[in-house]
Amino acid sequence: MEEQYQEFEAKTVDEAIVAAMKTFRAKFENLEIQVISEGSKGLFGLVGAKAAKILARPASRLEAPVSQTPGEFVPAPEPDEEPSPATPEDPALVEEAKGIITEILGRMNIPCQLRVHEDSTIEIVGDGSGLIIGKRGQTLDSLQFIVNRILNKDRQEPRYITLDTEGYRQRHMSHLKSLAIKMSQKARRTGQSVSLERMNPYDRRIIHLALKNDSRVNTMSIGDGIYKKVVIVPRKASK
Amino acid sequence: MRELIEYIAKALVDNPEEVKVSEVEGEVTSVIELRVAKSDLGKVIGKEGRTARAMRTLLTAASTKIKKRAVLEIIE
Repeated sequence: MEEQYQEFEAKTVDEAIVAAMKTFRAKFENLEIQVISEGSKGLFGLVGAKAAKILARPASRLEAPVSQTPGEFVPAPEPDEEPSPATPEDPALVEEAKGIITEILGRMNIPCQLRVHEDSTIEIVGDGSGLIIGKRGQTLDSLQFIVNRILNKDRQEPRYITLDTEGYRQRHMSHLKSLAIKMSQKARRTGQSVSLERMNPYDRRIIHLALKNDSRVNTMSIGDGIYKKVVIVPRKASK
Repeated sequence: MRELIEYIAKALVDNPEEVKVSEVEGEVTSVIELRVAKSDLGKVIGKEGRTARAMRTLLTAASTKIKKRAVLEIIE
């Protein structure tokens, strides 16, 4: 009934996940992923390098199976709970957004083209220098924030668009995902809570969802304001 | 740089005609001063200063490209 897990190997867990997404033509949220080995660079990337290995399969359309093999971690697709950039089906909205982006990037002297994806994400095709992404995606997030601000200035019901460039969003998401898995393993190994650095709500959501079905750890957000820390707490085995 | 801030500010506020942006150019660093109507101050600063911070980030990215620095001052 369900599709079989397929094995993916790459230098890092991130890359393996991206390979899985490509193979199944599925989004990250729609994949069930198990990390077998995280891989290591070895000494200077020469001696003892180990490939990262994961198992992945498309998540079942219906409810995720409840009876997972105990001790194994399988994320399930989730309905949106927190505000996340919605998918607008409104071509006028996308056109309006494109206009605003063009105006802003033009004034930043960044020549670029815009491409609209099927899920209405607007991709900025630039010179590939990473200038639009910025440090930790700051510039891309700022641009997206301001564009959404302008778009929703006079709108009763807010509509949000997502910007991307050079595949950053997907890369960032699989990075967060593998970070979540890695840090949950650390929490379990050491029996101590692991706190991650401050993140925006959208990134935190990815971490929470990635570990939601892992019964061995709890996650929570602490701190004030928009940027909070996610803390991964190992659950006591017996209680 | 001035045009960037001017465009964004005008698009965000209710009284675009009251948006005034001036640029004090230095050799490396230039200071961009943004003035808006009192009632629009919150619009350009945003919740927890998020909008102001986003504008500063874009300004930094744009000035990095021409190997300069720019600082955004929102004048009350």
